[in-house]
Amino acid sequence: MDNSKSDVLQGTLDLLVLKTLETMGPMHGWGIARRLEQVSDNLLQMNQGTLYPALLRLEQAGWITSTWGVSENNRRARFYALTRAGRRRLRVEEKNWDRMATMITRVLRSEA
Amino acid sequence: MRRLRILARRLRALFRKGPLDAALDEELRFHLEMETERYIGNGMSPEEARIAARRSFGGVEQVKEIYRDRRGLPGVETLARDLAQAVRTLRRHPGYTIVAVLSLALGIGANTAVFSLLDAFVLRPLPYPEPDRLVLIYEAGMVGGRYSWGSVAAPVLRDWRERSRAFTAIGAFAPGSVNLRSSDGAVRVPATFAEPEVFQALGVPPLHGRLLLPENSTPGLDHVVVLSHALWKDRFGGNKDVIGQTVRIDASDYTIVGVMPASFEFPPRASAALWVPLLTSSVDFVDRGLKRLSVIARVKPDVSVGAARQDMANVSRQLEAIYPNSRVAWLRPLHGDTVGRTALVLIVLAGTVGFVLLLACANVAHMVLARANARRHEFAVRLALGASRWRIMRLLLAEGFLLAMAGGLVGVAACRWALDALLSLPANPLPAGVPVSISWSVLGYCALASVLTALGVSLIPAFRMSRQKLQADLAEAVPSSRQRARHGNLLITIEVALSMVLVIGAGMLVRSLRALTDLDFGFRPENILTVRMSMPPGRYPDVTRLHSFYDRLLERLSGVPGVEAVGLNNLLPIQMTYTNMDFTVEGRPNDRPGYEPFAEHRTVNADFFRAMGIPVVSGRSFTRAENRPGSGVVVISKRAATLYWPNVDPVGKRLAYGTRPKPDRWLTIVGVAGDIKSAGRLGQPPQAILYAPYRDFDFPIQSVSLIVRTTATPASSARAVREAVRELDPDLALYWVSTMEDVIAQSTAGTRFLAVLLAAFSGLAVLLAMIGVYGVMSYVVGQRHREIGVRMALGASRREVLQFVLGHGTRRTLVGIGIGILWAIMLSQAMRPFLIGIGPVDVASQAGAAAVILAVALAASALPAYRASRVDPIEALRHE
Repeated sequence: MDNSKSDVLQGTLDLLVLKTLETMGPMHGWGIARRLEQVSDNLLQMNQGTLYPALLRLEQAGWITSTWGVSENNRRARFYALTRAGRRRLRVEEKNWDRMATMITRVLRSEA
Repeated sequence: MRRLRILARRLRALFRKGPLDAALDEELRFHLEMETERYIGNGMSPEEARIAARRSFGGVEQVKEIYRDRRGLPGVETLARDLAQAVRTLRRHPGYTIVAVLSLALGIGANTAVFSLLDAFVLRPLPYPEPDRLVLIYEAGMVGGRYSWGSVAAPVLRDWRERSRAFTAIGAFAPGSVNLRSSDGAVRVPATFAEPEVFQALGVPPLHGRLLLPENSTPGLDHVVVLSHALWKDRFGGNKDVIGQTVRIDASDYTIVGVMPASFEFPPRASAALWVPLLTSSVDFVDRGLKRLSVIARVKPDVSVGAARQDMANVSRQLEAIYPNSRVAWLRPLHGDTVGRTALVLIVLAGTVGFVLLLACANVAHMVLARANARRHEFAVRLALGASRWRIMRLLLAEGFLLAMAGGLVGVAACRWALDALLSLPANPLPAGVPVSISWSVLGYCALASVLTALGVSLIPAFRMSRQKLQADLAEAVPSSRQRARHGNLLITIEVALSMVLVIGAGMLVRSLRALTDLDFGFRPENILTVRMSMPPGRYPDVTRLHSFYDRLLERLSGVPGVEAVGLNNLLPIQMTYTNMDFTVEGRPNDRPGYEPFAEHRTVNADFFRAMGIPVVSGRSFTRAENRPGSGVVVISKRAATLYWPNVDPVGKRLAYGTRPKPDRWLTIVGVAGDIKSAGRLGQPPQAILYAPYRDFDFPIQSVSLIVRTTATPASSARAVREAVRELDPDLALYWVSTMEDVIAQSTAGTRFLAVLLAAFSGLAVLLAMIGVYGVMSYVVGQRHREIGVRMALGASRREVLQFVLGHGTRRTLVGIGIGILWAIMLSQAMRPFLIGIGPVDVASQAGAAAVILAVALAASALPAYRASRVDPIEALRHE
C-alpha cells in the first residue's frame, strides 16, 4: 500500500522538481531533495539518489539548466535552474495533474 | 524536435566521458557531505551520520550506472569498445590482416568496377522524361523460315501513324554521319537524321533555340540543324549567337536552329554530334519493300505499353487485309533494345567478379574461423568471467566488419584505376562516349557489398564460437575434435567448384580465340586498307552521274602506286550486314510466304573479288563491261548455291529479285564465289549472298566502302588514297579508315575482351583457391598434430602420413571439380554469344580446367603434407 503510493509520486517527480525550482529559484541537488522531503512531510519515500537521473533527464529535455556555483557553506556545488521551456512545461504538467486529480476525486466520490 | 535535442546531448556526452564522470562524482560527493553534516547537526556521531547519509541516498554506484546509461548511448559505447578491441586484435596480427584486407579489396573492388560499368551502360535510366514509355517499333515476320524483325518502310510508317491511337508521337530516324565543313577541311561527324516527331516523342527541351518543327519535313525547309552540346562547345565555342548562323553540311548550307543540353543523347548510349531532318522522299512512299527506317514512339500517359502493343497488333491486322503478306509491327522497349548486347558482356563479367568475391569471402571466413579456434581458450575464459555469448559473437562480427570495411575502402580506391584499365583494354566492346563514373549508386553498391562480405566472413565463425562448450575448452588448451575440420572440408569443395567455373569459362573463351585465329574468313584479310565514304546529297543528283563518279574514282585509285586492286561494296563485309533480299529461283516451286529464298544483297564492282581475295569457285566474276545498267548478271555465294540450287551447277541459271518478279528482270548467274563470314555470326554457318554489279542496280548508293588491296603495308597507302579522293572531290570526307585486320579485330572485340578478363580473373580465382586450400590443409595438419603423432607412434610410415594428408585434400578437390563442372554447364548459356567454333558444353575446357585445378590443389597441399610427415611422434605426444 505504501509502496504503490510512492510509485505514483515518483512518476510525478519531474513535476515536483520543476515546481520546487519555480518556487525556490536555483538550487543544488541536495537542496531539492531536502525541500521535497520537507514539503511532503517525509511522505515521499524515495532514495535521494533517484533525483540525479531525473535531473539529467530534465536537463537533456531543456527544461532546466545547470551551472557550477558556490553553496551556502562555501563549497562548489551544481545549481539547477528552471528555463523558460521548463516553465511552460510546468504549466502543462500542472494542468494535467489538476485534471487527473479532479477526475480521480470525482470517481472516488461517486463510488462512495 | 525534443527527441533530436536529447539525442544531440547524448551524442555529445559520448565524447566527454571523463570530465562528465568527474563532475558527477563531485556532485554526488557534495550531496553526501551535506547530508552527513545534517545528521551530525542532528546529534549523530560522524560515523553514524555517514552511514545514515548513504542509506537515505541509496546505492551510489547504481545511481551512477543509471545516470551514465541515460547520459550517453550505451549501444554505441559497447560497439565502440568491440571495434576498438577488434582493431587491437587485427593490429597484433598484421600479416593476417593485410592478406585478408587485400583479398577482400580485390573482390569488392572488382565488383564495384563492374557494377559501375553496369550502372553507366545498362542500369542508368535513359536521359528522357519517363523513359519507360518510349518504344521502338519494327516490322517483323518470317524471313527465310526464321522469325526476325528489322527496319520499317516509309509507307508502312505512314499507315501506322494514321491508324494507331496509343502514341503521343511516332517518328522515324536513321543514324548516320555527315561531312561537316570547317576551317580545317571536311570532318566526318556522327549525325542522326530524324523526323521532328522523334523530338516530340523524346520530350527533352532544347538548351538554346528550338527543336525541329513539323514544317522541317518539307523539302526546301529541311536545311536546319540542331547541335549537340559537345559539338556546340568544341566547334562553336559555346556561343549562344550560333542560333541562326549557317554551317556547311554535306556541301549544303544549314541553319542552326537549336542546341541540346549536355545530358541529351540520341540514339541512346551513342554520341550523335548533330541532328538534321529526315526526309522520306516520294519514291520511298511507293515501295513498301524498301525498309530502312528506325521508328521510335512514346506511349500516351494513360495507355499501358501492353495496350499499345495490342493497338499496333490491330493496326497490323488492318494492313494485312489491304496488303497481303505484309509484316507485323513489333514493339521493343527502348531501354532493353539499347542495352541488349552490352548487357550480355557485362552480365558475364558481373558473374565472374561475383565468384571472385565469394572466393575471397570463403578464404577470409576460414582465416577468421581458424584464428577464432585458436582463441577458444581465451573466449572460454571470457565466458567464465561473465561475458555473454552475444558479446563474444559481437567481437567476431566486429572483426569481420573491420576487415570488410577496410577491404571496401581499398577496393573503391583501386576501383577508379581498375575502371581505367578495363576501359583501355584494346578490345573494348563497350560503346564509346558514355561517361563512366563512381556515382552514389556505385558507392552504395560497394557499401552493400562490404556489409554482405562482413556478414559472410564472420557469421559462421561467430555462430560456431557462440556454441562452444565451456568446460571442454577451459580444460584443454589444444583442441583436437575431428568435427572441427568439417567446415574446412566444405570450404575446399566450394572454393574448388567456384574456381572451376571460372577456369572453364576462361578456357572456352581462349579456345574461341584460338578458333578465331584459325578461322577461315573466306577471304585474305592481310594487306587490305578499307575506307568508307558518303556522297553529299545533291552533289550527284542522278544515279548515272553518281556511278560515273565511282567509275572515275576506282580508275584513279587503281593507278596509285602500291595498289594492286580496288574493290567497292555498299557494305563492308565482316563489318556490316544489312539488306536481306527475298528472291525467286527460276523453275523452283513457290515457297509459302515467309519461307522464300533470301540472301544478303551486295552491290560491288568487277574487281571486288580480286581485292577481297575471295575465290570464284565456279564460273567467273563480272567483267568490267558487265558493270552497266541492264547487264542482268549476278554472282552467288557457295552457300546460296547449295541452298537453292542443290545438286545442279547454278552457273547459267536465272533468278529475280522479290517474290513476284517482273518477267523482264531475270538475272543470269555467271559465277559462284566462296563463302565469307558475316558480321556478328562468326561462329555460325555463312549466309547466302547475291553479288550484283553496282551499275546494274538502279538505286543510288550514297555510301560505299572501298577495299584497297596493297602490295606494301596497307597503312602506308592511306595517304595516297586520301589525296586521290581529295583531287576528285574536296567535299568528300573519308572515314573509318582502317586495315581489314583491324576490322576483324573489332568484330571479335566482345570475345577477346571477355577472354582477357576471364583469363585474368580465373587466374586470380585459382590463386585464391590455392591460398584457401593451403590454409585449410595447414590448419587440418595443425589440428591433427597429435593424432598424426599417435599414428606414427603406432607404426605409420612417413609415406603413409603423406598419402593420408594428400588424400584428404584430393577427395574434397575432386568433389569440388564435379560440382564446378555441373555448375559451369548450368551457366554456359550466358557464354553462347561469345563462343566461336565450340559449343557451350566444351569437354576439352572442362578436362583442362580439372587438370589445372587438381594440380594446383595438390601443390597447395604439398607443403602441409610434408610438414605432417615430419611430425616427431615423441614431441607430438609430449603435448598431452
